[in-house]
Formats: sequence, structure tokens, C-alpha cells
Amino acid sequence: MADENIPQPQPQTQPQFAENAELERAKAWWKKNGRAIVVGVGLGLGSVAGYNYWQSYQQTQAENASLLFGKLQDAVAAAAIDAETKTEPSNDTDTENQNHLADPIAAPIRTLAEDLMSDYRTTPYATNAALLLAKAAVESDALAQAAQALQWILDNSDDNGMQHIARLRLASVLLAQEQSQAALALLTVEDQGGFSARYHELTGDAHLQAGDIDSARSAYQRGLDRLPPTSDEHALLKLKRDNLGS
Amino acid sequence: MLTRIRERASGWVAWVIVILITIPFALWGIQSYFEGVSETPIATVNGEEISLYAFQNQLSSERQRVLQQTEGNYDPALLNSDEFRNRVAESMVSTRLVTQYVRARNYRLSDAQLEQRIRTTPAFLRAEEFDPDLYRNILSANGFTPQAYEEAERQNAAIAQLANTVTESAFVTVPEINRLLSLQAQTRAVDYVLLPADRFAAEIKLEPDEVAQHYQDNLAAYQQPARLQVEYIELSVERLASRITPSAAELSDLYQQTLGRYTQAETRKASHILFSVGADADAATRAQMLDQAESVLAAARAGADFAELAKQHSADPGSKQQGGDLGVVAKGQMVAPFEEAVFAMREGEIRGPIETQFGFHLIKLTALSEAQQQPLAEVREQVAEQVRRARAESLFAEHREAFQNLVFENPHTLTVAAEDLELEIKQSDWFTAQRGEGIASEPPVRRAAFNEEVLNDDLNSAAIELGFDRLVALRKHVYEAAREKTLDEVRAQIEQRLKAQQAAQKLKQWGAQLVADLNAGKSRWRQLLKDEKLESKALPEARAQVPPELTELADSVFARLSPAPGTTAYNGVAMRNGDYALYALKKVTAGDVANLDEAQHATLRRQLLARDGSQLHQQLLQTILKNADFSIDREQIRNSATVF
Repeated sequence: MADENIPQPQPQTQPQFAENAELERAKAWWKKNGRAIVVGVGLGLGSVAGYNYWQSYQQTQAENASLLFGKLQDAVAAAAIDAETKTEPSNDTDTENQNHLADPIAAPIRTLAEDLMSDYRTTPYATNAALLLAKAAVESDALAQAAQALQWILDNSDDNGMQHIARLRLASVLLAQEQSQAALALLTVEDQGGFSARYHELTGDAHLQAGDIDSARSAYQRGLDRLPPTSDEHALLKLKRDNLGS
Repeated sequence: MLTRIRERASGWVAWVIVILITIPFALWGIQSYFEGVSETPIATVNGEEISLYAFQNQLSSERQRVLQQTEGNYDPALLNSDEFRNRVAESMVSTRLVTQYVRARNYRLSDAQLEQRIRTTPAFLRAEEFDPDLYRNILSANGFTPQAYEEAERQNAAIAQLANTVTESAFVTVPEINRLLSLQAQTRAVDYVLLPADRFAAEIKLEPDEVAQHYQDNLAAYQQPARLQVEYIELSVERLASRITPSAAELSDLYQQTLGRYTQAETRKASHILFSVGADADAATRAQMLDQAESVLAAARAGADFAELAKQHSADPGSKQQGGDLGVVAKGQMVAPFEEAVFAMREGEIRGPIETQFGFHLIKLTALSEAQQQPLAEVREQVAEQVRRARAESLFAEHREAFQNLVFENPHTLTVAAEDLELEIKQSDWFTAQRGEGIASEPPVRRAAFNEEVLNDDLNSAAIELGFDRLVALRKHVYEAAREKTLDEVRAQIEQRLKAQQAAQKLKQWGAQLVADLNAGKSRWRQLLKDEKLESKALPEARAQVPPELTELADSVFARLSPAPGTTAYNGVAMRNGDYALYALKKVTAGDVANLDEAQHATLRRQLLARDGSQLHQQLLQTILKNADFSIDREQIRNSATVF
């Protein structure tokens, strides 16, 4: 750091342009104001050091969180491979998941995610961990826990984009729980960011679940209007809309 | 003035100013004041600038990438188009935005992760091991210090972390996937008839001024694009060859040099009888077989039919039934002792027993035709063609440069080049920038013809290479700017179109009336079919099985609400070929999700994960873009020089 160089020029440069009388005046002036200047400069340097310390603390926090998050990613990927080799849990789930109500989410996933969410709340990895936790929960048919994790993001994250993602995913979990009204309320937001196609699709799903076919159809149509016509998303949404007649 | 400043300068105000000025230097150093302010940036992204230099670098590396990916098969003009430039600039802006996004949110890879990332980068591996020397060499070859590279990698990794988080956390809920599977596998029971397009054709009469009116209203649709006729000269090996008459001396020289090509090699046909002796046979067996061979040989020499003997005695299953015939024996086909014997025999001779690894053979040479030399008279045309081709090729090589120079040095005429090189000036038919025939069927010719120099400046084109053996140069003969076609040129076309339109309109109205009557119970489906002498057909029930010519029908059928149980809903749709499909939707059956095959489930799951993952990530990027404050200097992007 070159910080020490800062205060020195002042007392030295002054005499260079001063004549004798002025030198006297300057000395008197220094007597009067010198302390204030030293304190001011000291405060300035202190705040720079403080800022630097804060920066490096943040950086260390982020690096530690990133490392933990990497482990969480691995654990979630491993769980997904396990699930796939064990045959699909998809079709007849209700009877099965009663058996292991204890904790359907694998222990390392839960521990890592919760550590990140509590100890590294100021890093982006807390939100990211909650997203992965929600995924693991859905894959284990633990919808309530998924909803909890996604709600945590809505309550704690200040990242607008991630909030959108969490909100959309929470809506789909609510729909899987047949809570169409809660989903509708959640999806009613002013700013949809770049996510409007998905907002409209889920709104349509919620209306349909609530039995309101006309609203569902027009919501689907709004979604379709915002998707590229050749995309998979468009084809799937069209399937939903077409089934409601036109 | 100066004293006033000096008085003020000794006041406390001055000190505050001095300190304020000092702080930025202390924090950011003085060098930031000497850097990169010399040119205007091509874009500003949330206050950060993207320099022209960085843009040009990126542009040229993107071009390299496209050329490599398409193996050079890419029009250079496209790589220099505004569209391409803008796309590169936009992607730089969006990369910068994501970089700012992850930096602001403090995404940061740990040292251990960074090390792992670099250690597993394929470019730095030698024999599947990370090689530090290789790493340093590659870095310095690309102008990176390790620190700079590591910092850049940290950034890239952070961007990847953001993307991976969104895609890896995507999920699909069970009700959602089941609902879509059931929709995909839905079946619909439908009867349909096609009302033919020409049903009302005879009734359509056009109003007298209708065609003219349509023409006036749709002028833009009746454009004749700019077209061109060119004069051109062509230097080609083929044409040069056709003008060459080889001398007798040349012919006989080449004939002598390439005699081998006109020699029919000798052919020998042989038959054999095999007395098989296995590799592990003992001496007694061997002796016995040899005796047998000797006695058959004696019989053959005594005049017994060789073919008959082969059928009786040969142990070679492949030739036995053919009387031992092996057909034409060429060199290199047979084991050595056998071959030696065959190629030493006279026609009709019988030899044996010859021992090979298979046993003992008796061999008869059944036919021998001597090697034959085709006389020059017989192959004159072939030889002449070769002489012509060879001379034409060297002539072409000789003239090539002259052609290029003459065309270039006499830019206002092709005559000089044509006379000097004895070429014929030809004229093309009309062609447009998109389509042409004859010489204009070659895209490079059309490109050159519609070049500004040819079109506006009346100059010769450069010499255009078509393959390795054709050179063409051209100049404008007649040019016709884009124009509207006259009414008379298009009258028949318009009449036909209008009639078809009106017939289709009438058919559609009628169809809609039928649908309404059917649904209201005013008419009955069966009765209608009988009256119209039509027969209904059943549409395949699964969407995927509907043939492509019925696509519009399927689109319509699968976009209807399910009719109430036990009722039939009638509807109709205009088909692309002008027919009108009238149909009765009788039943909608939900797909049986439980019995679908695994593949269908997996495909849909993959699509839904993408919808909830990579698509959401795309939308996140759009959101970032939407909230950003950036500007792109498109003028400068268009005008910036090209660096390749």
C-alpha cells in the first residue's frame, strides 16, 4: 500500500511558495488546524482500511460459501443419479412416501443447504442453496418442504431475478398441492421481469385448477404470444390451450 | 489575480481540495488517468465502457470461430454484415452485464475450486495429467499472465455457477408431467369428409374491373426483380481441349509411352483335382493319397475326361461340381507351387501331382489366350482425348495469368482478352441476383455480376474461378432495374388466383352453414353425406398418426373442447389445398399415463426440466438486460474497420 505517502506533501510543499511573513502565518495556522488535519487524514485512512477489511471479509465468506455450495451441487447430482437408477418414483407416489416420512431429503443435502442459508446469508449461495434444497425436496415428494425453501428466498433474497425464479417454482409446487388460490395470489405481481411467458402459463394452470376455463384459456394465450413459435415450451403450452377449445 | 489565488490557497478550503484530490490517486493510482480515454467506446454498460479495440478483437475471433465451425463454408460478406457485427456487440454487452451481475452479488470461486477447474481443463492436460509447463506455455502464447488468467477464469466460473444453479435446481412436479403426458397421448374419435375445392368453381364470375383493381391494390406482389444480361468470356480446359487437333506424331508418342494401358494381359483358365492331405496326416495316408493321385493322373493322360474325373475324385468342394473348373487364374490368387505350375503350362497340358498345403493337385490348363496389344487404330480416339486434355491443361495454366491481366488492364472491354486468347464473347440470358441459367447458374458469377463495379461503373468483373479448370470474366450487357410487372403480364395469374379465392370463400361459407345446421340439429350427418354423395372416413385417433396432408384438420380437431358425453360436436376447417374438411367429433379419451413407454416419459421430463431450468436462466438474463442501463453506438459498429 502506498497510503503513507499521502499526508507528507502538505507541510513540505507549503514553505516552497511562502515568503517569510507567510511562513509565520502558515506556522500559526498549522498550530491551530494541524490536529484537525491529522485526525481527518487518520479517519480517512482508517475508513479505507476498514473498507478493505470488509471487502476481504466478504470475499472470504463468499469463497467459503462457494466451496460448500460446490459440495451441495455434487450431493444433489448424486441423489438424482440414485433416483434414476432406482426406477422412476413418478406414478404411484402417495402410498410410497408415507413410509419414510422421517426425512425424505438426504442428510448431506439438508445439512449443507441449511448451513449455507444460515451462516452465509449475505452471499448469493444462500439463495442458490435454497433453490437446490427445494429441488431435492420435490424429487422426494416432500412438497411442503420445497415450498418452505422457496418461501425462504422470497423472504430473504434481495436478488430480483432469483425472486422471480423462486416465485414461479413456488407456484408450481402450490399447484401440485392443489392450492390454486394461493398460487394465483402469489403470481399476481406488477413486475414480471423477463419471465412473463411462464407467469402467464402458471396463472393459466391455476385458473384451470380453480375451474375457470375462460381465464385459463386467455392466460395460456398470453403465454403463447410471448414464446418463440418453434420452441418446445410453445408446443407444450399449445397442447394445454388447445385442449380448452378456442 | 495570482496573489488572490495565493491568499485563498492558504485558506482551509485549499486543504480540503488537496485532500479530496489525493484520495482517488491513493486508491486507484495515477495510471487510470492515462488509460484508454483516446477513443469513444462502442457501448456503455451501467457506466462501464466497451472499447472499440475489444470489439474488434472479439469480432475477429468470432469470425474465426464461425469459419472453423462451418469449415470455411461461409460467405465472407455475411461475416462482415451489420447484422453479424451487431450480434457480436450485443453478446459482448450481455456478457458484460452478467459479469457485473455476479460481481455485484459477490459470486466468487474459492481457490480450491479454481485450482480444480484449471487442473481439469482439457487444454492443459498431457497424458491425462495437468502439466504446469504446458499451462504456462499456452498462457504466454495467448498473452496471459497466470494471475490475469486465473482472475478471468474466476469470473467465467462465477458466471457458470449462476447458470448451473438455475438449471440444476429445475424440477418437475408429478401432476404437471402426468397432465402433459395425458394430453400428449390423448385420442379423439373423429369422422370427416373433404368437400372438394372446385365445388363452386364453375359459379365464380369475376367483375370486369376486379383483376385491374386487385393488380392496383397489390402492386408490391407483382415485382420483377432487377435483372441483367452479361457478355462473358470463358477460358476452360474443356473448351481448349475441343480446339486441339493432335498430330500423328503426338498420338504415336503418347501411345508408345502408355502402351501398358492398351495391352490386354494374357489369361489362363485351369481346372484341378484335389487329393486332400491334412497338415497332421501321417506318412501312410500321405503315400496313399499320392498313389491315388498318380493313378487318376494316368487315367487322365490316357484320355479319360478330366471334368468327369474331377467330379469323381476331387476333394475341393468349391470346384468339384464344375468339373474342377477354376475359371480365369490371375497371378497372386493361388498358393505359390500351384501358380508356378499354371503359368508354366501349355494349353491342354495336364500336370501333377503338385503338392501344396491342401494336398496333391492334378492341374489341366483348359484355355490360354496370349497377351494382346490393341493397335493404335483401335484406340486412336482414347489417345487423342488424352493428348488434348494434357495440352489443354498446360495451355490453361499458360493463359490463366494472361486472362486475368487482360481483363483487368482493359476494364472497358472484353474484346482484347477475347482476341488475344481466341475466346468467343458470349451473351447470357436474363438472370437476377438470386436465380439464373447457363453460366448464371453459378453463384459466384451472379455475385460478380451484381457487384457495383460491373453494375454501375460498367467495368469488367475480375476473373472468376469456377472449380480448377474454368475462368470466367463478364461485363454488363443490359440491365433492367426492379420494376412492376404490367397488368397484361400477370392477368391470367391474377384471374386464377381470384377465382380460387372466391371459390374457397364460398365453400367456407357453405361449410360453416353446414356445421351450424348440424350442431343445431337442423340437418343430420348421414343425410348430408347421402345428399352430397360423399363418404366419411375415420381420422386416426392419435394425433401422431394423422398423415401430414391432414395437418390442418388435426390442428382443428385437437383444439376443441371435449363434447359432452354421448353427444357429437360438428366443425369444419379450410384445408391448405382449398378443400374444406367437415368433421364430427364424437369422443375425447385421455391418454393412459400408466401404460406409456419410458422413452416418452423421459423425453417430456427433459423438456420440462429445460423449461424450468435453462429457459428460466435465459429469462433471468433478459431480466438483467431489461433492468440495465446501456447504450450501443451502432453507427460506430457499422463503420469500424475490419480486422481479420
